[in-house]
Amino acid sequence: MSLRINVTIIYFLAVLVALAIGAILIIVVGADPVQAYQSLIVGAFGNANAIAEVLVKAAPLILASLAVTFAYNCNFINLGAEGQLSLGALSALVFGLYFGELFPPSLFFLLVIIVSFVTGMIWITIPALLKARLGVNEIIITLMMNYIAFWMINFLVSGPFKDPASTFPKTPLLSLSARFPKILPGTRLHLGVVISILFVPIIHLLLSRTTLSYRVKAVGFREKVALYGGIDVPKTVLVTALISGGLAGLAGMNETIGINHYMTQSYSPGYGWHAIVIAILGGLRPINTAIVAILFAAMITGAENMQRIAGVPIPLITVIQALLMFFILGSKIVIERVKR
Amino acid sequence: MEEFSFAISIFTAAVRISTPILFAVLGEIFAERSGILNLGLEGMMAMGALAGFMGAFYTNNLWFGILAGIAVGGLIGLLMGIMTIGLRLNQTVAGITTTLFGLGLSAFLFRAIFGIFMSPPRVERFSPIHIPVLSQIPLIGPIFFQHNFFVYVAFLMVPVCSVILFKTTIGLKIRAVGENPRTADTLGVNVYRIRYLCIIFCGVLAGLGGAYLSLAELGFFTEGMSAGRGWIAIAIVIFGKWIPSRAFLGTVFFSIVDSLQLRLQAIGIAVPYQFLVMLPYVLTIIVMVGAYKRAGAPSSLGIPYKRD
Repeated sequence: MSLRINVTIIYFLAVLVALAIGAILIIVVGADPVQAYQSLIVGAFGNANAIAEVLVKAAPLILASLAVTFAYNCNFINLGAEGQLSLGALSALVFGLYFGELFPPSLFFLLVIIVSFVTGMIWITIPALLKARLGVNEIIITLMMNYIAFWMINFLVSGPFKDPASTFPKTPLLSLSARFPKILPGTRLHLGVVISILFVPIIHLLLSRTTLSYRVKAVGFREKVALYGGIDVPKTVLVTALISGGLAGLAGMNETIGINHYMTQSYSPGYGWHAIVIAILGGLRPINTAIVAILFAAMITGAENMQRIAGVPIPLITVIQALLMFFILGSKIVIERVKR
Repeated sequence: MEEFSFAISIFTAAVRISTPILFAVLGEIFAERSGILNLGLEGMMAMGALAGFMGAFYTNNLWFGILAGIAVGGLIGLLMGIMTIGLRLNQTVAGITTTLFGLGLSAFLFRAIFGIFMSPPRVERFSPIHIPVLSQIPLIGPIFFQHNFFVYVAFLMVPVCSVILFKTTIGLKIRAVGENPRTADTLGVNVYRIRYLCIIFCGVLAGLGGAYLSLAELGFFTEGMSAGRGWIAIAIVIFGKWIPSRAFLGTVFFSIVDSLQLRLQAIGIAVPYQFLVMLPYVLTIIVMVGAYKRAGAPSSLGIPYKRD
């Protein structure tokens, strides 16, 4: 018991140290750290609207980090969530532009879920097949697919799907009936947030109660052992990666059907990167991952306020994330060593 | 001569393009040969680019900029070393952390210090040095011998790194540590020291590569200016089977394709430019598939060493 409390204290200290170094950086660039952190917290939790905004940002983060978590359990490191998410966002949008008014809303939303999920799956197919069949390192391939996705969207938004009425390269605006309905008047909280959160228990169960979870974790633990255990390793890797890509693609649906309703040429929200950190800090467990995702959403939401009020640039939170990884994982290792 | 001008411009640009990647590739070979998979290259290059730019901007001296890039790169190498050697953190996670740290910190500092501007603050770039006699040779001269100082440094580094790795005691120690750290340790090689040395050296070269981007290539800094070069370098190392000369060929091949696509963009062909910009990334995937068997990888690559 006492050891458990110590662990909590050490994690708390690790977070504190990361924030302290962040404060030093803020001082170095000539801003006020108290004001910066204060505006960050107010920006995230200051009023109902801010909290709703945190949940809106949390939705894609939860799905993207579930995507990373799921694949990581099978030792498939999906650094391509950013590209899968971006294309999922675009495909959902395009589907809505063409078919938004053809279907009744409930059927349309169901189809949007399928479209964005399948898009993410398609975008991970190349790295998934290469890893499953040939054992090609997925880290670099999934990353390269991000760059390709970025330029693909850049092309699609300025060419085939460009709004003919606009001089600026952007897509047309989604019609009202094709948008997720708002569930809290006066805020941007929308139906997609609820759908996204529903995937937390689904993935939790999928990763704990199914035969797939057994296979995924066996392969993740040690490929050779899984092989001797009669598990079809390539198939498991493939299925896991496809689900992961699908979840990341689904995350994108929130961006276009839920909040922005159109896309511009250079779309890259950075959620895919946050998702990696979230998954690792969440210990690769779906429920913990979702909790960390909400905390990160708060950080991202608050950071906009911090930049506006205290003049501290938003990328500070990326630095703090890296510091959190460093100190939390570092102290975890130190704790384990002390235990032994 | 006119009919060659197209080819000359392609190859000249390719030599220029290959330089920063070559620095990163050579650094990564040393890190991986010693057993550390350094996925932090991209962050190291980003910080090298910023430090290089700031150093030159504030001192009005490009050489101080280069020194700053090298020093900061080395420091981030040390950070990566602390995570992977000292703490024995999972190397993939440590590398991602390092990349995030470098990308985030460079963007943060640049925005905080220079703010928002209409046109980016600039420094004078390194000017080309025409090598006497050699630069006058037709074809060869303009392609190889009319570049800035660091292009020559990068190309000379290839044989130098080869010799260090394969013909010297320290090179033998590095390879031994990467293949079988336990045995190396038994024979009296300080595994930790060698690994720290290699990862810091890798940081130094990656920082130099980054500083090259801001000081020799562009003369200014932009966020994300490394544009995946760090990751591409890692792919080239795998393709080059951890051998400097092979990786050099990979870098050159890659750079020619990149140079060609840039040229085609400039000419304006019927293909949308976005597909040309994608080419280097597509090529990287193809290169990775070509090298999938992983033959030649140091046996202890990615495995932390624990001394009992």
